[in-house]
Amino acid sequence: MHSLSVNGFSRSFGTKRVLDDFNLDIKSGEILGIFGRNGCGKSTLLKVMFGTAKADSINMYYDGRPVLPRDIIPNSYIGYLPQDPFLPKGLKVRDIIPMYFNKSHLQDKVFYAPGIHRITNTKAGNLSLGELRYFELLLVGNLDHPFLMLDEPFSMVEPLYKEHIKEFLNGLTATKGIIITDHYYKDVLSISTSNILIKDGKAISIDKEGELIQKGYLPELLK
Amino acid sequence: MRAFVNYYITVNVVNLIASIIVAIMGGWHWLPLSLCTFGLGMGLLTYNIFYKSQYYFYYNLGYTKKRLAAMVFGCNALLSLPFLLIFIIF
Repeated sequence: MHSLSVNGFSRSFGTKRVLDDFNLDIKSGEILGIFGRNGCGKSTLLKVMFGTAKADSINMYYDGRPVLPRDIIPNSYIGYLPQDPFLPKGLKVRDIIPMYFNKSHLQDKVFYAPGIHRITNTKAGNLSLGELRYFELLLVGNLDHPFLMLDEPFSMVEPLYKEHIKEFLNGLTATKGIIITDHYYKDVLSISTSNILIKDGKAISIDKEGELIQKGYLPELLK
Repeated sequence: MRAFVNYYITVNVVNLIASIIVAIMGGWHWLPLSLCTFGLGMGLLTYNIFYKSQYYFYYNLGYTKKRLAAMVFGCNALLSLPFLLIFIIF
């Protein structure tokens, strides 16, 4: 069982304070959904936690011990699926898998995941956006980081693959804590164990879909 | 390690081209030196411009940008050293 906490995270862009004294806690076994309008700081939050963007101020704790964002990558505390595709476009799926996993049983987990056998001879650059997203998620999710952060994992993914993704993520909660941010709120709500909405730089706890309407993230017509 | 080899090759394609240009202009003794300095800088810069998002491929494997650059420098220094010594001695 591992825990990850962020306290007092603030970040400004110019004069605009995007996140202000923001706090977040997650433990193994939890799936935290993060919602918010475009530009509210969701992706920035994930990048800062991963150590690839700067914060004005942040305190991070891993298992209760202080940890600097720049130590996240070298210590492999968090696996991160960024918004943009990150696989080398010229490499085939079957060549990428052994780059991520030395052990054959871990390679097999990806090779024999639903839908992968159809694309093993395809170059990453020739995959559809949905296939690419799904494949990237399988790679990052099967690494042994104790935490996983997913920035729009359901984006451009066809319904059938979405179900595979949900099943896969639910399986990962046995060993990992997962943070998901995505505008496909129904997909996130169907697997998350807790949710927050980022509004005016603060985190608001969300229990059900109706609260996303009340807080102004979803339009009234969805009532 | 296989992932690093992919990064190493991608960075050094540009490095090698830049270093050969330097060698043609300034003499072949500059080739091993450029592979660890100017050419390497050009390779890293080009990667940062054209393949920036691919750094996340390596981040997830525990490689930071600095570590990747240091590993490429280390490998190139090891490979260049004998050639540099040959040029110095002869």
